[in-house]
Amino acid sequence: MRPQPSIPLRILNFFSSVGLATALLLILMVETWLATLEQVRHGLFDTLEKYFNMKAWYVLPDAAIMGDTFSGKFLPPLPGGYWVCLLLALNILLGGIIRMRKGWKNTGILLAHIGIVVLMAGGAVSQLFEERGVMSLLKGQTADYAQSLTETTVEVIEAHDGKPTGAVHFVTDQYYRDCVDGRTRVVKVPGLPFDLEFAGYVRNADPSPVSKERLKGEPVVDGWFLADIKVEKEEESNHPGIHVKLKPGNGSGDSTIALLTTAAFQPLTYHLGDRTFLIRMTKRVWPTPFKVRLDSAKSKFFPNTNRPRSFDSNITRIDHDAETQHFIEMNAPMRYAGMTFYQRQMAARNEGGDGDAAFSQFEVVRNPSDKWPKYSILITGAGLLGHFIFKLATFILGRRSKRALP
Amino acid sequence: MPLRVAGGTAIRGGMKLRGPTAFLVLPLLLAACHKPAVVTVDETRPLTMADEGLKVDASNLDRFQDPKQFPFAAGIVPDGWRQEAADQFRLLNFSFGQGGEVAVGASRGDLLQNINRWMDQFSAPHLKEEDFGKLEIVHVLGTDGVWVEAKGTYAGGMGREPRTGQMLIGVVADDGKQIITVKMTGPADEVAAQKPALNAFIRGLHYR
Repeated sequence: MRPQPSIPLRILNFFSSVGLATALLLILMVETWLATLEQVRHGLFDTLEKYFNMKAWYVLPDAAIMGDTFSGKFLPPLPGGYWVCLLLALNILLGGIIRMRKGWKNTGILLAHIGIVVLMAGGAVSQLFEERGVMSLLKGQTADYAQSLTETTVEVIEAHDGKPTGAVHFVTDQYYRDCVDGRTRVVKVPGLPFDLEFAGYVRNADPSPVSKERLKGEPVVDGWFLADIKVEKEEESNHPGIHVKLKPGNGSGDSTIALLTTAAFQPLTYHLGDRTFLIRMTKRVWPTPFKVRLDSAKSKFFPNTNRPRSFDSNITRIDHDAETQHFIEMNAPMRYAGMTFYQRQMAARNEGGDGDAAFSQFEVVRNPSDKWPKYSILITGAGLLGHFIFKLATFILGRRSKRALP
Repeated sequence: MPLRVAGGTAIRGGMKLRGPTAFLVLPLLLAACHKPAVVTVDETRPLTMADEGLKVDASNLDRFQDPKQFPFAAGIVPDGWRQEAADQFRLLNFSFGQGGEVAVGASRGDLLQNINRWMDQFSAPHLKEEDFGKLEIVHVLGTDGVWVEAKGTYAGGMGREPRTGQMLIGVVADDGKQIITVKMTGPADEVAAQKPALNAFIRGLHYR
């Protein structure tokens, strides 16, 4: 009688099985399809968070994608896309690389599997470490920073003689986005003589003077409050807000409550002793180690449509005193100092018309795995090509040897 | 041969926990993680051009209203006036008493058209060019405007019911780019009592 395999071996068999790979690929296909349909109703940001965020270990697809009559109902649950991808990567690593029969005959397939694992690892690295923002420039304007479209921060800058000085302390939104329904969090920032206590996070806030018609129990600060308005489907259109209590360290002095929102045009000024601090909530600022000046921009559209045919920009990169001219267009980004500048949008002189643009926007990405997909395609392509050549050669040689038989 | 793990210990049968179940525990634990109520955050970045132009001691109006869309600021807000939400028609918006309103706006057209629009709201006779000389001149936002008054039933507009016993006082001025209006409406007795306050408010108006 054949002995029963040990539990670890059974686990290994399970995780490296072709059956699991097939099931995971099917689930991913279904999830991608459902997410594509769902993002029409709920927006891209929310849908990606729901289906593919690390914290979402299961997903309840919205049944309303099948029609309004199913509104408020859900389809059967599916495992979170992030974990499905992770399992798939593990499955390919175990079954397609580690446990695969090694030999020169399988070299091509092995390479193809390695390429797929590189691609999935690139996706994971990108999700964990990628920094992404936009740099918007008017013609002739220079900038040394990009800003996130969705991530916010609360920044504290000390001011001397009315001007910001020193480093900018910032708290990312992971520390206050969950401060809802009475939950608060105290953030201590080394080097600052006060703590920040966050409460009452609002995903889309409209700072308003107190008005009986609009006030629905929100905290009022100096006659103003953060109205909790409808969340837009496009996350970048939302202006988050938060209530912050500034608490002097060591209990010295009274606390001050303030409203912060990315919709504000100026920071809050906080005086503590003889020191002055500017505090604001803003879309996260990513400094670039060089400056970029927009020299000119051109847009072309398909005739009689608003569909862009090409956007291109001439820019000058200013790295200390060295000025370098660059041409950026769609699919031809500028790569420099670990950053990639992609052409994103621009304002045409006439809507739908070709010509010079007064404004150009670049997507600025710092991604350690930026080129991994390219490497993955090269590895996978080389592997499959090698395998096909091998199979073809085997086939041809096999036929010749059959013919040679008497 | 059983699979060996670190330390050379073999895991043998008898374990009830199945592989998939064990794997699902990890995300469950991760999902349950919340950040603590007190945290220390030590992240900094250098100053950039994004930090230029920050105003120290900005008022709430400076902070929360776009100076391009809402170019006016009140230097003096009389006692008892309450600031209300502004919109594209009411660039500054206040209320007082029982139904009194003050709105500062910018509109198109000319002085006469705007004055007569107000007159229409009170079913009052239209003013003519030659009547301008009779109107009191008031200095507002760096230019000269004319003082306008009307009494009676206020149609109000914007779907409101007409109200009797109302009064309007205000200023209409042309600064060459736009028509600036400062309009106080409300119950006649309350508006009459607020006339000195409105004068003070108009004197304090300035561009942001």
